[in-house]
Amino acid sequence: MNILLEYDDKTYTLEYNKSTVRTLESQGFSLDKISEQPLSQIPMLFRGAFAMHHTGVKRKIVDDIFESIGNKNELISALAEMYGEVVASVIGDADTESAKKVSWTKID
Amino acid sequence: MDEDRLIENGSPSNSNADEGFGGDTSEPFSVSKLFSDAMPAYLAMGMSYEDYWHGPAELTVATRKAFEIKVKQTNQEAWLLGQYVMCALDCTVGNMFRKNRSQLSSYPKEPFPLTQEEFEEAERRKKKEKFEKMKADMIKWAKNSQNKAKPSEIQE
Repeated sequence: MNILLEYDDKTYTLEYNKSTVRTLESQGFSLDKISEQPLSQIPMLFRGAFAMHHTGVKRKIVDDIFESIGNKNELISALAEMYGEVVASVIGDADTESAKKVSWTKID
Repeated sequence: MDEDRLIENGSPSNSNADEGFGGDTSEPFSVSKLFSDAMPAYLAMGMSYEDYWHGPAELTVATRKAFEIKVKQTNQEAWLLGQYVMCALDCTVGNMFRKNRSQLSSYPKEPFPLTQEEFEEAERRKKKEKFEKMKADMIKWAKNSQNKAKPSEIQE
């Protein structure tokens, strides 16, 4: 599963792999802490989703994209689902047979 | 410049990380540890290090499912080999203990059919062989009876 996000005429593919999930965790991210520390955890989760396909992207651009997204709730749940999918893929109870692609368009 | 980059290397876990799971004194769940612990199993399944860490989640799931199929195939092959060994023993050792010569076993002339198509094809072939044998027997019988009939015709 991944998210296709369009911003400034550029398409970004948001996705996680084990390496980016591990890096996120080493930076202090945990799904359990989202409800306790949403202000720090959610942007971190969002930034981490760029690491797999867009390693060179500037942090400011990522933050700008995050700020300009209107309906953040849906995006956050999609990101959390993607993150959980990576963890579940190792454990074995992931139902990731059908790779879903979510299309996301930035609204000004 | 590097500070602008998205992923910062070497950031250790923050001190709050140990406070997870509502004050539980047990070690908090670590995704990194889970991945590291599971890695040898996935490498044994044939996944490369690069694919394991940097590939998509679907690849991990597909690798595990492919491995499950492979295990089933290996088991099926072992079972099939056992069947052939059993046939070989039956037509050698087994035959040694058979008193009736007509009950002697013979090793299969062709491999066991494994799919429905192969099974149907084998059945068709068997029926055809049986029919051909019957036809040949009938021709043989007809020729024999023709030969036997000739002297009597001469007598008449």
